[in-house]
Amino acid sequence: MLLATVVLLLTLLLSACGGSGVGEQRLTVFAASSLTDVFTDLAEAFEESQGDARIILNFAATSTLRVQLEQGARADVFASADEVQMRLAQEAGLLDGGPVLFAANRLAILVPVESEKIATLQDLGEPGLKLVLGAPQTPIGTYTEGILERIAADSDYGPEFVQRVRDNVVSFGLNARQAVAAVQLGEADAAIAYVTDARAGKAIGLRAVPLPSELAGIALYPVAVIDGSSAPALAQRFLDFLRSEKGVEVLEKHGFGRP
Amino acid sequence: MTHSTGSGQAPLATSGRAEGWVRYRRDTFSLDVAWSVASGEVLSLYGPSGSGKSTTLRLIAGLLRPREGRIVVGDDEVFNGERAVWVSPHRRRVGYMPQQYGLFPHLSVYRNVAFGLSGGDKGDKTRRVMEVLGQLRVEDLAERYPAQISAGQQQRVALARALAPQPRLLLLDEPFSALDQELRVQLRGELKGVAAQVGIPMIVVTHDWADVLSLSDRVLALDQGKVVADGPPLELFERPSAEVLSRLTEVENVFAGRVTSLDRAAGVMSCDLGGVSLAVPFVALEAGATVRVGVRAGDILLATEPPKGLSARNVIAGKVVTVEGRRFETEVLVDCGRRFRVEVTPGAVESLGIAPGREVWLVIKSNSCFLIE
Amino acid sequence: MERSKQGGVRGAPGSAGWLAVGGLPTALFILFIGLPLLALFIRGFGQDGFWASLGQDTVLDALRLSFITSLIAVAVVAVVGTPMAYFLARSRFKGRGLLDALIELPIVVPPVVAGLAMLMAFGRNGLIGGALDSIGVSLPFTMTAVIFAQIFVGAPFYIRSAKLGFEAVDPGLEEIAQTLGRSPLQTFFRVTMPLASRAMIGGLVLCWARAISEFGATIMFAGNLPGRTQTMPLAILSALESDLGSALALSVILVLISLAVLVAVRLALRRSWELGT
Repeated sequence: MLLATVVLLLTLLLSACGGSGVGEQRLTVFAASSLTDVFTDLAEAFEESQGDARIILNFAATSTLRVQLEQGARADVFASADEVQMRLAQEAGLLDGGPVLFAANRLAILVPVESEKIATLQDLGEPGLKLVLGAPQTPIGTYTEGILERIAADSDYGPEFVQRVRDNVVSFGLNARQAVAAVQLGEADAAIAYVTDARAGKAIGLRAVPLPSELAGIALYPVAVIDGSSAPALAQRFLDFLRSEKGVEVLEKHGFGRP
Repeated sequence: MTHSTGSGQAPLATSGRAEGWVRYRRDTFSLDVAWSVASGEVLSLYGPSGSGKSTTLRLIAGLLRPREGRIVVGDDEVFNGERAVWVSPHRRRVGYMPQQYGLFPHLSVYRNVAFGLSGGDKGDKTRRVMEVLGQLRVEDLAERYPAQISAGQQQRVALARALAPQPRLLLLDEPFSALDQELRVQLRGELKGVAAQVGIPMIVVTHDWADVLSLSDRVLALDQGKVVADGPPLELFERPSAEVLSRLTEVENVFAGRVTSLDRAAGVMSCDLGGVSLAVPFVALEAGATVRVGVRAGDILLATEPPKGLSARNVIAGKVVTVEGRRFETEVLVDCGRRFRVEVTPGAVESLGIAPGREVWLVIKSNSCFLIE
Repeated sequence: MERSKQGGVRGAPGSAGWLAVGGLPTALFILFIGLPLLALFIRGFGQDGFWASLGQDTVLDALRLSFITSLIAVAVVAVVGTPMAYFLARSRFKGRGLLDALIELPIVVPPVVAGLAMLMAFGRNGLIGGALDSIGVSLPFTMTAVIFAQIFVGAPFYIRSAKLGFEAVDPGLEEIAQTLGRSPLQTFFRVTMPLASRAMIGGLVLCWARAISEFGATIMFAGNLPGRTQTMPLAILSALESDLGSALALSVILVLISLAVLVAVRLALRRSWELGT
């Protein structure tokens, strides 16, 4: 036990001293899990352009990140997958200045490339299909819920169709990437997620079946500087970079659109 | 089950022999033994540790399986190597009491004894348990747990448990090894009484020659897995050829005799052993009672002149008959009217000039003499 | 098996040295464990709508599901694990050490890895999952999958503990039981099991505790569907996505129930011990 205490203290000490080199500025970015691949690239490009900056990325469901920030997690930038979570963060007084939109994304049905089960939205109602959605509390879940409501209201589909779709749900992913992983592993037949997830770096073997554009809606990504950031100027430069020519180029490469 | 386990009126009418022979081998140890015990008879398996006594017992109980042989209990053949007969231990109806008694620590004395009584009427069961507990005078302990009673009491309870289901043969492994000397003497007597009462064959494993002498009708001496002697204990003991046996027994001198006088205050009594008188520790006996006295060869001092001013009570003159060298010590046989075996070092033989025909004096403390029953 | 009546600690109880060696670290450890739990209770009970969040369907579903699945998992582990533990305790053979290590492996494997491994085996594209699927058996995303995950992570705790319990039972007692006319099976139930019962129950409690708190393997292999595969830990993490309040409420409930079970088992064990030996 005494030994354990000593180990604990040493660990604390080490983590307090370790890390940043001399003259290096660190920027901690909390970003939605659907931004995993694009932000990894963006961070690299940003570090190149700044020289002495180092970006630390933390990906999770936007809602998880927001709760972590509320509980006092230290970060400089928060990139959310929807405006709802960003508004909640703003109301909680977490932000330094207002959020700005930097990217847009669309939702689609993601299926294995070789799968022939799903050609259109209609096929989601086939009995026995295994469908994975984002958890209702997460941005991806909120968008999905909006889509399902619009489908129910659409005379071509109607509420009974939506009920059939809901009956096919086998699991709720705690974030977009987790929902997609179930399809990649071959356990689920389809997931409703962002189109960008289909072309994300390692998501080999997935393709996106588009939703009718009037039903799909658009996911908008806001970003903001966190109140109490240790490097507010650098954080602001990162926000500017996201909307710079170079930034937009990287975003588009990953399938994101302009807001 | 061929016998009723209900009323428990001993002795049972069984054909009552237990006999057989087995060959058994494990690693480098091999055992080759044959036995035969009649109803009401006690057979001792005697020998040093590692001689195969306990293994023999476990083979008979069915806890080990012999390579070849034949084991008969009562009317049944429970093992026959040639005819592939094998009765598992729980169907043999052989009572077995291991060295540390093996009472079930989670069960009360009552439930320990009742353990072997399966089925049947509950009243009968209770009666039988109380009957055997009474027989062994431990009925007061029925509600206690094994950890709460003494070693002597544990032994009685274990015996009661083995007897309760009315076995056709009783096997006891070192029944006295966990007891002090006083309790040993007492329980030996009681065990003999029980043996006579239940009238079944009994096999007792021991490494203590005193157990053999006091308890058994016959003894099977084992050494390194082989039978080295077989017969009534005293007969074996007095047979001069039993060299192995005398090595095993550790008590080289045993004489039958009679008490001549008692001195309670001094704590000694004199015994006439047929030509030799020996002072031995006092025991509450009458003058004229027959006794058997043992003296270990190593407990006797040898002097070449009449010794003076000694605290030892027994100084006996005699003549050396033979001097026999062994590996570590020399055995000198001295005739003092009875022949005593005396153990001395080879160096002493040389320096004292001990040789056949030489006149010598034996010095024996009375405390070195002990009564065997 | 002498138990000291006066209780207390042997050695030099009360001396300053003793206190420094044993007391201080103990106090530190209690703080270390107790403080976060205390904070959880304060925040959990202190908020509005604590009771309301308990009444939610998802919460009740998750509670029910957690209990049903963990109890089934424990039952399966007890039935399959007991003879196995006994076999391991009583037999000596080549490769036994390896088998022991294999059985205990799930203790050190991260649960997420366990879940992934189970997918690789029983999933639709898994080693034997394809064959299962072709006969109409599909495990992932089912309650069975939840139970599988719980068994996978919980069983080693029971088997290990029961094995140690059986090893401590003197085989001589089993032999005597047989010479007293009891078959090997009767012997097991009347002698071996009662004597190993403390270790067995202790192991079952650990197994249950591990099963009810299982998260990583479950979300991997069984998914996260309220009412079907969403156990308490999954519900807690899902709730955390929207509001801390109901996540706290759920956590408090889970901790309280677990604590109640642990205390109840300890009390029951102590009573049986006093009645017994």
